[in-house]
Amino acid sequence: MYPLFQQKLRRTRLRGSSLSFASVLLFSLTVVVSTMWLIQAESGWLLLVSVSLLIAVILLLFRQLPVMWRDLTHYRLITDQSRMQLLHHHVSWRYEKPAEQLSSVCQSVLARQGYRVQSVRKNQKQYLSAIHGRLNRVGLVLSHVAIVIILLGVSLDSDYGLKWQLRFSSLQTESQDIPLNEMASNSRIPARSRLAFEGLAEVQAGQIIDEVRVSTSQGFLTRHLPFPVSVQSVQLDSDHLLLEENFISHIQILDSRRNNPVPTLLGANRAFRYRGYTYFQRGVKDAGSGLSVAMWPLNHANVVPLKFKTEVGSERRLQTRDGDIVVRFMGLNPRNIQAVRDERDARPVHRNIGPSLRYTVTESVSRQREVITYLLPVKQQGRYYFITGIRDGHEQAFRFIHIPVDQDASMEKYLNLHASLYDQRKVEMAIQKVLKESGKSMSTKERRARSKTLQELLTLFKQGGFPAVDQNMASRIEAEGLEQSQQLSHKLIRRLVYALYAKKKMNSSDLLFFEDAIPALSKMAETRLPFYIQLQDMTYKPAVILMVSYRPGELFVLGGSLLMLVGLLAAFYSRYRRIWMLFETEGKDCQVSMSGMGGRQQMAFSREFNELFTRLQQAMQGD
Amino acid sequence: MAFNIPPRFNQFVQRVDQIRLRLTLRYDQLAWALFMLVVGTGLMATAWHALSLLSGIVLALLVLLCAWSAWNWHEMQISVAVLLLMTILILFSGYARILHDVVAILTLVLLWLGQLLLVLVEKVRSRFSYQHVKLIYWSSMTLCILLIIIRWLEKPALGLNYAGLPLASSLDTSALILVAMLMMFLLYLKREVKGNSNFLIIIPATLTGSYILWNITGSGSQLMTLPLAVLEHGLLFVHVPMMIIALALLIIGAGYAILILTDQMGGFLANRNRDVAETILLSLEAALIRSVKLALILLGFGILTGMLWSSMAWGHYWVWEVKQLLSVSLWFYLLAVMHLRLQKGVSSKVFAICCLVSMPLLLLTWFGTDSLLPGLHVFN
Repeated sequence: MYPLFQQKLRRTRLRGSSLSFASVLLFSLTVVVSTMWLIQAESGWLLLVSVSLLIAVILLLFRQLPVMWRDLTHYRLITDQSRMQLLHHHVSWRYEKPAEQLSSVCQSVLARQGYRVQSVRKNQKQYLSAIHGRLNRVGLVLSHVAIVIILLGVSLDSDYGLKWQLRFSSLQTESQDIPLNEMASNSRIPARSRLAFEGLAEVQAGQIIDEVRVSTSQGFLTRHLPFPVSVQSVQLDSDHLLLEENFISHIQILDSRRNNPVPTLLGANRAFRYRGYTYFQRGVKDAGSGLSVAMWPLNHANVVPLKFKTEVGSERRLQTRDGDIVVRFMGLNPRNIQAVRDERDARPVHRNIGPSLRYTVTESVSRQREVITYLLPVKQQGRYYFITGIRDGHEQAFRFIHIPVDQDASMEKYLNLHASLYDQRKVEMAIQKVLKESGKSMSTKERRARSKTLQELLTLFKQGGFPAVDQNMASRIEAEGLEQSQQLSHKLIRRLVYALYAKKKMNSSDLLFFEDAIPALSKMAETRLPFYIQLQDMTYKPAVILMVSYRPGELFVLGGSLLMLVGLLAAFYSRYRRIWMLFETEGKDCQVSMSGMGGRQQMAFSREFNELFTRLQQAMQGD
Repeated sequence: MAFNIPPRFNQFVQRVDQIRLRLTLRYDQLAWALFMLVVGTGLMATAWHALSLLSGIVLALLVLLCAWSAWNWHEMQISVAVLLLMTILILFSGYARILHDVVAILTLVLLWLGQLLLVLVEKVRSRFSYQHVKLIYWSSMTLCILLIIIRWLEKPALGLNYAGLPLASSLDTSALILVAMLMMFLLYLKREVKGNSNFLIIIPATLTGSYILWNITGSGSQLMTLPLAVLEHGLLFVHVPMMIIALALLIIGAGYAILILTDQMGGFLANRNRDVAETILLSLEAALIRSVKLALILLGFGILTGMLWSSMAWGHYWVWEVKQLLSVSLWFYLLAVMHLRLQKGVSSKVFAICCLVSMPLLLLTWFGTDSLLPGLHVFN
């Protein structure tokens, strides 16, 4: 009774442990998915699953390894014919040949089929036991051992060690994001620590760091590095154009055990490993690039710009009659790749159109605009323009203004024209010129009235460009003649601006300039910016966001994963099967019995067993 | 006027025939060998001027592979001949854009035609046979390979600027998935006992083809793009194809799973002889197991290569990124399912249901990160 019960219990346990393995895998899947949704990478659930998976696999290995070992090394001769007959695959037949002869024929046939054969003679009977596909068992063991190795690696690379220290040692996090050198001593992890970490530091060219900032869910820590890092330079990789900025950082690892520093490059797809530590360029940040700007007043007849030097991240406050205006210099982009099309190119071509400056203009609490301006003129359809984009919020697209370039490759000519709109004397003269060119003789009263109309049109144009003029017309004129009136007013404004612009000798390039200047003036007026900031020169000063990490479990995880795949390959593509044969001499004849076992894949084994049976028969007959 | 064949020509023909007999070649094999010799030389000569050394080597390997496959598999010969001739045409002509669109449309037309013909063969018992279906699918697959080659060789003309093979956009990966699916299906039709509802298996391929065409005719493929720094890595050509083939195998596997379930419910095999029905069921199950096994291995290697790449590109082999998590979840799930089938011996019905359950996760892994969830795998 008891042995039977024990056997049953053992069977139940075996099933239970295997099923627990499968269920834990399913459970881990659920948790991984739920973790993903919650974006909680350090969830306690994951720890629970990992531990339960580890226990399940270790238990399974503990119980199954002896069985696997026996499968690999023992031939397990079956000397009882009745036991052979109990197996699912069983055949027996009779031959008029000696048992030894048939046995040796079968041995060679089985060996040719890849079986390892053991032959034993006992009680006047010849026994054969053959094994094939031992790699399957090796694969199963390897894939299970690999799970343990991977989990070990994962636990070494996790932050549970750090959490443990924070809970049970004097180590404490700093809640404020303060500079590294101001961190308290109990927020510092020493360089000799063997715990996994990942820390960041912003480093400019020429700087050396020996500590990084480690972020945890509770706050910040400082991790001292065993090898200080010196950043030699941070440069744009200008060899080929890519969609995003491609920076390369030249760094040196300063290892006191070596006479010379270890130089290396960091960049896209380029991490560097040194003595277990990984150095990676997380990104590049502007560390206060130097800017030379010229600020041109836009609501003024004065065309003398205010020139000054500043840097990215700083702001400038300007006092005006309408209140204070704050200009904040947000960022400098040293290279801009744009798909541009000129007259030679059949399709857009990617070109670097030079550096750009981004700044915000805050006129009141509620009104803030973002402006992007490019340092160099861009060629479009054969002509060059200075490009500036303006938008009211991050969610909006930039509205670009194309300012035509003059013969001196500057925008001075355009800005002079813009300023002349505000020069009352020049405007008056231009109005008189336009009225004179109309060719009609008119009375003084009529002339005054027309002059006033032109003045009003120009004022509207200065306040909001052509859209403001159109809107004004729409509010005063019936829909029937509106379009005609709007066209007329546009024409009058163009004539007026032309009168302000025109010189005695006008060539074709002057006319083209005027054609480009009109929409630029209108769009500039639409923005209602009080000034135009032109980027004149710059000194780019990047800082690399250096990520330093120490992961003692990385090799375990990657090696374990490889081991698991090799194990799975072996387990999937090698079938474990056994053949037993019994040769019993009965008078002149020999009774041959053959049984086989092929695991779960009964169909494939049935086919193979039948083929083997046929081959053996053919060999016996042939012999 | 009678035309006399020159005696030298006769001698030449006899000499060739002697060589053929010595090599124990059939006439069709000889013709194929000569064709490959002429076309292959022409292609190489063209490629020598038009392509880089690496592209030339890849093309040479492709030609050799095509020649070898067609030698052993006669259905392929016409397709391979068309493929090679059209490749020469692309290299010589400057009409890559038109050729690209025409090939894409033809691929889709043939896919739908194949789908329709398969339904007719299996459900209406028309005069068409599986041979016709296979021919159409071979042609469609060949054209899809050609589409990938055109996109690869004619990147500048098409406004694509990827490094190496085009693998960065969902359109290109879909084209590769389509090729993988068609190949699996054709292998199944060649090797397995054919059921009478195979048209179900190929529906995902037809839909993928439709997706490709929809993208090509849209504005997406017209845009001039620049390569991303992170994609400039050799592992792109290992990691992505592995994942793609694994996903294609699982999609085809889902087709087998549907057939197993419907057959078990007595749907499609109801009128069949019992033994035949059982044989079909067993072959379907074997095909499903084979698909999932290979998918698990490829997915595993895909994830491993992804981890290696991630350690270089994102600084850590594991970055808790959506696509990484979903791929690993899918892998774990399939591992558990295979474990249940191979070690616990669950029934084919349960196995098929479990495989079908993985489909939403698979689709989320493939498409989810592009359009639904933010992650580092979005390269638009």
